[in-house]
Amino acid sequence: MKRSVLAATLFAALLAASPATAELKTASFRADSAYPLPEGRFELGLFGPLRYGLSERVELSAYPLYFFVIPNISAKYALMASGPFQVATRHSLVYPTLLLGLVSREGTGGILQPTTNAPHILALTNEALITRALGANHSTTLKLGISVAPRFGGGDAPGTELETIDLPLIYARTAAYHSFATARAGIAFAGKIAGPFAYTVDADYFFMPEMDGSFAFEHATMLSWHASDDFLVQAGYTLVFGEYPFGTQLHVLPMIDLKWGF
Amino acid sequence: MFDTLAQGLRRARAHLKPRRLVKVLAGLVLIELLALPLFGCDPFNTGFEDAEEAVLYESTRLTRVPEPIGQIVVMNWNAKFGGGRIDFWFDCYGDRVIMGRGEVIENLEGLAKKINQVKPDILLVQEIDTNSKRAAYIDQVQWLLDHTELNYGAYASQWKADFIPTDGIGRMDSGNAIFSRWPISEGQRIALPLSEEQDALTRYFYLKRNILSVATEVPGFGPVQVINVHTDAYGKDGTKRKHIDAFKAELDRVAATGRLLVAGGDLNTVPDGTTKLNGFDDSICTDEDFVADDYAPEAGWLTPLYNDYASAITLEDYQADNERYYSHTVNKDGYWNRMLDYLFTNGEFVKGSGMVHQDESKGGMATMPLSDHAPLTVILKLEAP
Repeated sequence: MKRSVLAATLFAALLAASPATAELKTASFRADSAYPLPEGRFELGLFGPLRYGLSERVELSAYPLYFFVIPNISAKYALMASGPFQVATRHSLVYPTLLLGLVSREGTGGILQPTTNAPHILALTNEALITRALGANHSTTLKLGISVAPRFGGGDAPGTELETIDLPLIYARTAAYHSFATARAGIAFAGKIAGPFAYTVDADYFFMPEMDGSFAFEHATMLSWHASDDFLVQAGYTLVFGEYPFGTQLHVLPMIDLKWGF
Repeated sequence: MFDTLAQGLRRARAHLKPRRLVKVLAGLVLIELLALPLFGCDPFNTGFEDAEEAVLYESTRLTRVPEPIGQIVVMNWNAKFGGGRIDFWFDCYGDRVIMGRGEVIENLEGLAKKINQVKPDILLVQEIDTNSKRAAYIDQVQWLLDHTELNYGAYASQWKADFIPTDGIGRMDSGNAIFSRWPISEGQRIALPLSEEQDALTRYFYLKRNILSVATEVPGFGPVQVINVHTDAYGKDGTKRKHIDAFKAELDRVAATGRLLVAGGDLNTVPDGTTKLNGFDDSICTDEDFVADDYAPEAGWLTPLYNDYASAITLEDYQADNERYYSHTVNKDGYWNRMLDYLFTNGEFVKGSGMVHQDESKGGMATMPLSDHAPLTVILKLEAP
């Protein structure tokens, strides 16, 4: 965590010292970067969010399929560009209470015990994204974020409290529901390999103070086949090594997605 | 914005021409196949081999034990995963699924108090959790070792999954354990047949029962084989019968070696000569998945065990007074109403030493609040069979 903060500070200093000021860049199929979508462009993933370039600086995104059970919205704002660097912030707001209620059920699909009385939760995540272009076809992005999730109401009697969901990917992203705040730092690389093939490689560290499982490290490698400028197939894996209330565990999960742009 | 959306949709549709779609789907299938080894065929880690080594434990603070003089105390108890008398969903008395850490510790303290009162040399336990969400992830085998005079343990899981997405159960690791004052070796988990009446998905996440078999080195005597089982409870397809027969076969195998053995567990059926075989007033489940108490079709299932081995509670004693040996009830506000728990040996038990610790008058301490089973104890003579 300290190293991540130090790296971000150095990056910001480099940015400030850079003499040239560049125009803001936009990019397609680059969600995890400081580049927003081009103005007027939509992108939709089979499992990923619907993203929309509202202006050259602002990108909005949401998961439309799940919106009615987990209302969510996210905005990326491109702050500035300087030389090969671009800085953006990303802010997301999620209201997971409806979904938590739906998965608190008897029988199959009961992720939480049926007697759970989930509190009203407003989960807010704020991130800084600093992307540096590496030549014409590659880039790297530093990510720093913090999540808070104010809670209201909910059960406190035995059997009614909101339990943690001790699963890879989910635990780290819902830990803020059970603590004061969680933090996240990461780095991502993306670029072309050859022809229509491209890659993204990223690593993220989640720091979850106050939790029985206090950290998670995630690393993903995805290969993309850009069938056209507006359609790609992605496949790869995500490796998760994390601490949970029961101890540490390593998972390697296959990942696949289809993305359309229009 | 809407013009852009309409234009984008037209372009997206253009990309989904049949030939292209087929290529994409073929690519997806190929990628999935390539990714399959990463995910494995058992993504939630629920499976077991037919025979596996048991997990061995040791107390963090070993208790010095004097050499036994000709006999040892053996105890059997279904501990209900430290759930005490909380009304759980599967009993149909309540809706609880997950316990808090404080609740589990309080219940374990009750179990330890009873164990420390009996001071067994060997303890067989069924339904003990080592890493389950429902029991606050407390390793109950290690906890009991650290809070009793028992020094060594062996554990065989019978219900294991990284995550069970049903009723909020979550992560599960629950099974059978054997505790001993003396070192344990040769620990083995022997898989029992699975129910054939369940669909594949249910069977994947369901209990996979076992026989836990270990040797414990009794000072001044030598190895004693200890065998623990918890047979099927709810199946209607004969799985319970198969489990009982496999248990008997394992006893026969060990007995043939000439080694002294003590074996027991929760057999989930009643002895021959039981007068009440069904219609138990504590059984209120209507879901047939959890109805387990018509024992009429099971008459004679335990006869081979009684014929070939000495029982802690002899059939004569039991048939003279069934109620005195009842060891189970679902209703904490009722009283024990059936005998499901057993101890057998190929050696000899001290005559009249078998006892079901039903309450203060029979065992010196109330046990109804501690589990849905009462403990059974007996004194085993240290004599070669």
